[in-house]
Amino acid sequence: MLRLDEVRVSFGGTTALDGVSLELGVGERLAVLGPSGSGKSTLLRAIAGLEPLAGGRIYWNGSDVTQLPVHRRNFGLMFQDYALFPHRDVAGNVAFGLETHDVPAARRKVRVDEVLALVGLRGYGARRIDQLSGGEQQRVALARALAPTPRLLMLDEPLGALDRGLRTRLLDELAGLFAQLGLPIIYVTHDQEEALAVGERVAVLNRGRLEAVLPARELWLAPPNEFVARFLGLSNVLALTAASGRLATPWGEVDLGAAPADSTKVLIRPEALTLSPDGPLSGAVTAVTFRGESTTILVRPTDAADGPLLEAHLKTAASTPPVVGQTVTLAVDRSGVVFLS
Amino acid sequence: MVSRRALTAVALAALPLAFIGLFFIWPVASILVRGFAPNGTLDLSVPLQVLTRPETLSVAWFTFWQAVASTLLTLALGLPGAYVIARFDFPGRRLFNALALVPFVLPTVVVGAAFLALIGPKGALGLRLDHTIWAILAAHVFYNCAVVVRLVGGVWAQLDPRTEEAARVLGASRWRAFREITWPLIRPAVLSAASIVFLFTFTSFGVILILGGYGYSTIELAVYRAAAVLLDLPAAATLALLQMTFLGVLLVVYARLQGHAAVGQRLTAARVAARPPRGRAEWTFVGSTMALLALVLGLPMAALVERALAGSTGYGLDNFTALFGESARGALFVPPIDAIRNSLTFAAAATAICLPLGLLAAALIAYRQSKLATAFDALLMLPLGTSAVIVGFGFLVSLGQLPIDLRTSPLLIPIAHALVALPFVVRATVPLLRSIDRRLKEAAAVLGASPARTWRMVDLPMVGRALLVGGSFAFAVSLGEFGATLFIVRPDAPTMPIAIFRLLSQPGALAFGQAMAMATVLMAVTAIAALAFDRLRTTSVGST
Repeated sequence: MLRLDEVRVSFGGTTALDGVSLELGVGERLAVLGPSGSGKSTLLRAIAGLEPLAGGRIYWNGSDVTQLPVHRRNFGLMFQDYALFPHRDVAGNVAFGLETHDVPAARRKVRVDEVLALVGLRGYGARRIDQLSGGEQQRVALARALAPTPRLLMLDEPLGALDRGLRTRLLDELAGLFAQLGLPIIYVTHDQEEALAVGERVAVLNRGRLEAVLPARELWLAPPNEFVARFLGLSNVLALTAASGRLATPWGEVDLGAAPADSTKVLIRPEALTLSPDGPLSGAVTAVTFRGESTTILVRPTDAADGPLLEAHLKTAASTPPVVGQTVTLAVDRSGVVFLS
Repeated sequence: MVSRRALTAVALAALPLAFIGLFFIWPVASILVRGFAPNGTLDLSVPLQVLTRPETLSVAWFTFWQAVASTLLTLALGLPGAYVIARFDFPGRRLFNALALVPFVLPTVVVGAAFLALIGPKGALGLRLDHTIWAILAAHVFYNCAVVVRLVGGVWAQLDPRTEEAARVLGASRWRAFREITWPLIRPAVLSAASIVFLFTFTSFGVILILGGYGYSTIELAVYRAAAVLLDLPAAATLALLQMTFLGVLLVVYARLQGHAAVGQRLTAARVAARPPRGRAEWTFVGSTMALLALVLGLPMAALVERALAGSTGYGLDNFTALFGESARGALFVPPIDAIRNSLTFAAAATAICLPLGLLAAALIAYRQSKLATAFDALLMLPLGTSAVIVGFGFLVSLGQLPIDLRTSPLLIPIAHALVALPFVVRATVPLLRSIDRRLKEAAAVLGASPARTWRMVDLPMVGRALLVGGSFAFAVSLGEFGATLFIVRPDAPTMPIAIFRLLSQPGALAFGQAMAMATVLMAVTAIAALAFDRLRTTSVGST
């Protein structure tokens, strides 16, 4: 449905999007993940038509919409911090997109009620915007974007301004709502948990370039490169020194099996490390954090006081965790070893 | 039982109230009594006769329509300027924003002199437009443009641009998004700015006296001519009342409009609302708007300096050195340089009177949020809405009746100036006092400081800035005050604006040159004061 072809956006001298190509299927939910300043918001603004392109084209169902003005695209965009209209009440905000599409007043009212009910704000129509809580404002913004039945819905950090508890709850609600709507969705976030929960596929953006576009599960299990791995919170990335598969690490030498010819780095997933008396890796424990199902420990090489830290997630049921200062030996499960390009 | 807090409030209010009562309410009341009950009984025959004169009607009509035209023209130029300043970041933006303020703080006499320098008989353009309505309108636009650019631009800059973008994404065209989203949000600021411009142009005096000639007269000018030239006090009183009635109606209309426009808006602090222009169309728009504004605001000031430097034998400082000699044709009875000394002395005295009163009043308004404090605030603003000419006229009428005849006192002019400056000083210092963190004071109180001691230890150091801001305001207003001074000034002790005005009314190159030189000096002094004030204000508590 939506296709981006080498899209470039620049602000003065700096390049915000540097040749982004992307396709979105019918009813597909795509999460765009990236650190702040990576160009996520710019990507949405470019698709919406709010940023002129310095190069590349945007197609919708095969037709070129690059030059189509913003207000004719019928793409929904929910802004970060919502950008609600402060001089209109809740119903007035939601009705705005219907007014611009010349929906008659009677049908407008029905649709406003319908959308407000959908986001769980039945009866909120006459409230003023400044009387709403953050979570309610977020729902109004969503209702406003949905009301004119856009052919594509884009959300820019929709949960970014909310506190943690509310976030977790709304994330589940949103995921359910999106599945129910069947709309194509682009969901921008810097939070990997949100991206994996919402996106069928996840695109990782870094400095205006796409690092990866993969199904969520695949991305999590086998991140293609070091940036993606580290951004997903996987920090055990080591340089490959020899192709043989035997790897000399600060914690000892370990056999990881044969590496593909083009890989230069290797990731050891933290859950692949287990306590084992005759494991190949050893070091001193510097931190122990109990997380419920597992315990996170950080291990530094025995002979290096300020060396790198190896992160291991030990299953709570499997063993008694070590204490800080204790020397441990660890084994590596090969299924948790990912070669990075 | 009367609480101690209430007693403190009354004590604080007593001095400013006495000052306003003695030097404003009473003089204005005296004018009304003179006009309507000259012999102790109400006699409306003279006022009615004055009101039905064809001249009165034509003066009232001219006053009204020129104010409407001036306001519309100022908006037409100022609104694009406000938009550009609020939304675009370009080289020279800050400098422009600062310089746009200068015309607004210029004394009206300097504005008049600057336009004579541009389009007067000895003007730099060689094109005569003085004694035409165009000169008056151009001067009003020049003078008031900053009000629109600053006031509307300030609010516009705080509007989140994404609000308008959200409307665009929802299917609104550019025009529709402006009409339905942006306009309702900036409308209160536009109304405020338009009301202020209307108020200033409606009561325009110096500009019309200098640029209009006898063909044009506002009510304000008619009051002056009736009282000071024709010595027809009942007519002057009637016209003054007419003016006050007009302004009263304007205030009521304004309050109602603002009441309707208040929409509980919450302005998001603009993170990066202003961005560099992109593409040829935006650069052209930004460039042409700024060029036009720079031309309208810069040309008269440049012409003034150019004329001041132009002597009979080429450019030089002849006109400035001539200020130390005799005044041309004995226009001032004293060397022009004396006017500069007089102005500085009067301004220092006016500041000394105004500052304590203004700070007392501001402290009361800033710390007590009650109906009484609001009423007190409104009372202090009255001199601003009444016009300086009426203040001067009122002094003339009333102050002879005091046990000590203040009319011959050297304090008379400083008192008048302090009265005119008081609303400005209060308005400028209230936000500064409000910005003082309440918790600091509570902390001091918890640590055992008495209220007086808390004020001295916590507030006073922070009030230092307010003193500086209020003081520079009072000083600048006094330096430029013209309308009231014209009534009460002694012929042999002119202030700078008076000297400029008298020199401008004399024929001859020497008088013109001296007027230009002195106007340039006055422009430089007020501009420096204003820019310093602007810096102090904006670096303190964000934009207030």
